[in-house]
Amino acid sequence: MKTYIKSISYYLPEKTLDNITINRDHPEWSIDKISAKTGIINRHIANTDEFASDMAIKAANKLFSEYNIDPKNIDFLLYCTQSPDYFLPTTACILQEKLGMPVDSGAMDFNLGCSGFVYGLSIAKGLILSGAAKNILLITSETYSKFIHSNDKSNKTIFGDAAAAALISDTGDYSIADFCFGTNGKGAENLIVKFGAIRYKNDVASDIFDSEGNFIKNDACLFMNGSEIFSFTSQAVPILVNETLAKNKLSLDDIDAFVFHQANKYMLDFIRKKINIPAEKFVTYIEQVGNTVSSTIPIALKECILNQNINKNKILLAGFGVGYSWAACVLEKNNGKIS
Amino acid sequence: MEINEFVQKFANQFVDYDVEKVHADVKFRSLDSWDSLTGMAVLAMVQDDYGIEIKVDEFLKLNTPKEVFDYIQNVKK
Repeated sequence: MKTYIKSISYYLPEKTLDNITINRDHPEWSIDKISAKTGIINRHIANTDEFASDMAIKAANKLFSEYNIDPKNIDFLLYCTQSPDYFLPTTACILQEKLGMPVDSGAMDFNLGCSGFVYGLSIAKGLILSGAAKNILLITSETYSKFIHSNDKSNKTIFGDAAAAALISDTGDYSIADFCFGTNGKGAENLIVKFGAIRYKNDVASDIFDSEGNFIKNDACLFMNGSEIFSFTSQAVPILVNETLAKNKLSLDDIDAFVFHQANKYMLDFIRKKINIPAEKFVTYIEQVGNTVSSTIPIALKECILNQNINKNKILLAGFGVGYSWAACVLEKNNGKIS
Repeated sequence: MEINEFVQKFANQFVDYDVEKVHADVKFRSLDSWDSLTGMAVLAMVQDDYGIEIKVDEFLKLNTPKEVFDYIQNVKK
């Protein structure tokens, strides 16, 4: 038996944040230089009263209507977010009811970021192969904008909000082959929202500046150590790709498209060259949406299948980032219709 | 270890329009497209191709590709 990605849809919030606005708010920030490097011109930002779970519902409803799917046929919901509505109950339980899923279905949240979609595929595959479920709704949804401090121009430039919904089933277009995983908690403090959860629930944070008056961080907000992340990614991802190819008994040339987590264009290009992936096989989709965390891969995958005119029999997905957590897998085209 | 090859690798971390401006004695931080991402890419290149990890605070003391080259050579001795 095989498992398949059957269909993908995604939702972007209506409000956008463009480089002109960022430049206006931070005139000292050479946004043109930065956007040339990051490859990002526009990001979508959730409204103040719009949350990850709201976006998740919109993405799922888009999936249902685009592909004529009856939510009553979903028997398991996997919800990947780092922005749950509450500490408890599980947000996926709330989504079950709002989406009209049956009560004899399973539902759970899992807390991952950039590696989340690939991990989600692995869990879905396990559920299907074990016979525990047949039609799995995997939703990724993130609102990092709500964690970003108004003075944090770097993170404002990079991150965008989005949600994506995918149907994983025992029939479909792209079968899910083998996975490799990676985890290193040493990197925990390099991409973190420190205060607000249980360990520092009521701690009060203050703005921290450097000797030149530049904003560094506030522990209640998103903090990212860019140079550490770059260093980790440039070491870990080439190894991940090689191990995943080996596990799938494939060579680099066998892969028709590489869909990596869309962190930023410059870093991706650096890694692409390091691994010797030809530019025409390397998917980038970041300019108009930014880094949407766990949704970057499903969004780029959807755009890669829909819009790109290249042969795509074998696709390698690689997610990496916050945690540190990373994972990759190969998808193989079923000789049927492409979604 | 050869300096011309090193300077070429150094230059390749810059965006296209600045590549030709990188020579051994250029103050690389004054180049238009220089930023922290370029800096990270240079450090990653040094690690990958020369096996040396230059800490960020050490790197801040080096101002030209030649100075970085000399630093690497000293470490290797």
